[in-house]
Amino acid sequence: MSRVGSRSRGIAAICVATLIVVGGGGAAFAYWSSSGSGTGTATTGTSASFVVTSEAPTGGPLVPGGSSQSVAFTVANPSTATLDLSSLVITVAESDGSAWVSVPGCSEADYVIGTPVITYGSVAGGDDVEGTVTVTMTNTAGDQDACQGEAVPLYVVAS
Amino acid sequence: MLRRGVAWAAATAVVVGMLVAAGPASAYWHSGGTGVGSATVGTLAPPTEVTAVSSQPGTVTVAWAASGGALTPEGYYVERFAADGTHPACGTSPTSMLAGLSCDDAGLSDGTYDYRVVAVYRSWSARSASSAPVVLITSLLGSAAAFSVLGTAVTTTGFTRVSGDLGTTPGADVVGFPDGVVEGEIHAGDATAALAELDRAAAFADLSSRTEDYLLSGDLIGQTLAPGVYYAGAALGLTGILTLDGGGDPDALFIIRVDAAISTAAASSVVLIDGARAANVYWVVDAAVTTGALSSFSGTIIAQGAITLGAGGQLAGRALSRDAVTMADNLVTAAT
Repeated sequence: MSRVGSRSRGIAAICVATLIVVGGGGAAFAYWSSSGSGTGTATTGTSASFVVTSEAPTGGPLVPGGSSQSVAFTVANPSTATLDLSSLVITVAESDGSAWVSVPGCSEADYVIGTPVITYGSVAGGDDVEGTVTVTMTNTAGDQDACQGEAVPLYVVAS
Repeated sequence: MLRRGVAWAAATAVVVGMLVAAGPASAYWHSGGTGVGSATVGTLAPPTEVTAVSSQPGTVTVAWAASGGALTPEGYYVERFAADGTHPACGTSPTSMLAGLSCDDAGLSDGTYDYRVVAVYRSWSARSASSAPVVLITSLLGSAAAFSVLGTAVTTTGFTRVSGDLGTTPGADVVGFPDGVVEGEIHAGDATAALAELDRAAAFADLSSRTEDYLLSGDLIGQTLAPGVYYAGAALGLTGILTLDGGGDPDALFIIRVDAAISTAAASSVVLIDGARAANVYWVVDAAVTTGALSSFSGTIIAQGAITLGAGGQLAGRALSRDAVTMADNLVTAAT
């Protein structure tokens, strides 16, 4: 009986150790403590948002069926935690993401947004990642005069 | 012993299974964020400096300056604006454009027109401002409008140059060409000249019926006339400069009816200013017209008597007579 109990305790100990390893390991990575030595209370981090900024477009102004413009973006991680950048979606839209309707006769359909060129992956706290995207204007069979001289708003969602 | 080994193996399997099931711990947070940017769109500049001039009967010549800016248009099309609406002009359309910077809009009837020129680049277009209006009153002269000189006989000495047609009717005497030069056609006693004479006579009758706004008499030297219908019951003379002031209106119409002769002195001149155009000036004379040597005269002379242009003088217009026309080293240019 005592030998069986000894074995049971041994198995239980292994399981507990496993749980500690698995659970404790996860818990350890869920804490975002500042680097350095010393003691302190590790607190559970909160997920900060990326900050996306853009540069002025380069290349000639857009014309129907003409060459593209390139817009450079910077996706910054303002937090101290490492964040995962896995997607960058860029559309022609207002600054709140709603449809661009402020120029009657000219719409998102008049433009083509290229695939963003950026390196996805983890972005260390305080670090940033730079990328670019191209914009071209389609030459439609319809009248696109309303688009002349306009600034085309781009809305970027990083996640 | 065997049971103990099985128990340890089972425990080990549980541990390994849990380790595997736990998976790698994530080294980052998943997060989101938004931002904005913009792209800029170019523009197509419109053509500029659009002009429209009545170049010959029923025809308006439209000219313009090319679009400025970095974008070169693929072509241009022309629109004519009239009282009854907008029409394509010069045989152009958005799908049939011109590469050049001028065109002739032919086959027009009487009326007032202005023109716009549209530059096209792919799906873009840029429309110019309107030209100044151009007035066509070709039917006033009918087929006679094509003639620079028309009479029962036409004679010149020296190197007279006539820009339009020259015709005689009912006679066929055309003397002095060459050395004189007719840039149009010579209709010596033919049916075209006969029809032109009928139209000339009709125009004379029409213009003679216009009610006068002002009266004229004597020597017109130094006078400045505003647009309108003028009448003189006796002969008029000009020993210096007569000014016709259009008042900024390119449609300004001057009709000067005289029930007697007109004669101008050597080196005298009729000067057109501020929109006045020779195409809109009519001298309707029920007798002879004689211009002085080296004089400068403007407008269409429709005379029942003979017309004699002084040696070396210029006429910007037409000399249409029911009698003979005599010239000497003259330059007769189109009434524009």
